[in-house]
Amino acid sequence: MTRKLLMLFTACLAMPVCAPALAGPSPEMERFGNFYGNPQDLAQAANLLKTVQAAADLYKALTAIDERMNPNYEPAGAPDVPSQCMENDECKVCYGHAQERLNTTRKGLEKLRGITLYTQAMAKQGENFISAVGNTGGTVTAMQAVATNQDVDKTVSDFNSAVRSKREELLGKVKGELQEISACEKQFYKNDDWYNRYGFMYYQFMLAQYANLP
Amino acid sequence: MLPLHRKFPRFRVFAALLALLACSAVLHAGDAPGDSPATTLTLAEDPLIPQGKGVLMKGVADATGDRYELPDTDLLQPIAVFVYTRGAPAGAVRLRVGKGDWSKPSRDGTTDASGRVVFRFRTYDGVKILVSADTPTPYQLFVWSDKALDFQPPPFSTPMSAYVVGHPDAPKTASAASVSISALSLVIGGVIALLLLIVGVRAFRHSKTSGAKS
Repeated sequence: MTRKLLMLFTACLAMPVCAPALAGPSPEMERFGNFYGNPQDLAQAANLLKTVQAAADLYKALTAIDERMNPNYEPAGAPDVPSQCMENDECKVCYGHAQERLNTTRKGLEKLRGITLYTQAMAKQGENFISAVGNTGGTVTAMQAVATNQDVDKTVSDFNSAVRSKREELLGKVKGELQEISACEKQFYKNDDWYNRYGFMYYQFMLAQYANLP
Repeated sequence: MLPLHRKFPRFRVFAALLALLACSAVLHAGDAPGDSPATTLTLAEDPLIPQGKGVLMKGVADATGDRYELPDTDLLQPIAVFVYTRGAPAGAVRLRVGKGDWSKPSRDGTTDASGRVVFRFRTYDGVKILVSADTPTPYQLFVWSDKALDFQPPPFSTPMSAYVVGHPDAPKTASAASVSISALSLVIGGVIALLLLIVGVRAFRHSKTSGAKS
């Protein structure tokens, strides 16, 4: 009988079946045709956005971490890099392809920065929570908390290693794409020195910019 | 005197059910609003939504609140959450949006005179929604989202013509520099040649006049 009661108690802990039943009917999906307002309001509600900038102005980051994760493509201290190909129609095609690839890599680096920031914040939050729970539950719980935190550390370490590898890959791409732009400057303006004079400077800036990633 | 469960064989089952109910009621009596199980929202396309995807839910908001979860969102994805109530005057329905800590929601508002409340935002890794009301109030929840906004990084380089305005000392290109050097040497060469010509002419005239005198 005691065993049965114990099982019931465990089941009770695990499945709070009664509470929702007492709280009222669960919400359910509704057909759009049954919308309270005018169905056309749905389109208005969705707010169809014509430009990315208009969307960005209307849809702001929800949390402080989201705000910090926002891509920043114009970081302070970025070097001024001149290009003759930018203003020449013939060279523009050559330059445009390389520039497009470089922009994709810049997006990738910013995404990597954002995800790293988020993951590290979540891991820190989780470790603090586990430690707090461990501290309230006595020696055994504290030891379990330490063990769990060690698991979290291992996972974070694996994540950091993956981030490092991705960062190296993307920064390698940046270098390659700058050299492609340099080749365009050389081809159309006989400028052999573009990478050494300007491209290298930008590459060094990018290395420093993402040096803080783990 | 026989124990009750011997006297009434079904009493054991009844007691067990009663224990389960009591246990659940005790465990969940002190729950904070929003501790009911969350409904995972799945957005889908619909002819009534011309852009993006949405889901329409209906429920009755009460003090416990209905919880919803929209998982796996991208930071650059626009998300809009609407709550509509029907009938006038509709009871106020409170909408909270956040990451799960309902004491500090990221957005918090109640339906206005038109029976509507809306939040628009972007967030990474999902969002949680809580709809509640002081008195049971029917409501509709419309959640809309679209694909991630494509923020284009601005060009990393500056057109050379703009660059030289800020850097007047900068050589436009290696070829431009070499062109200017050769022009300079041409001028110097020209001047030297002119001087040599003048000296030569004078020497010739001088030798001619001295020859005539002798």
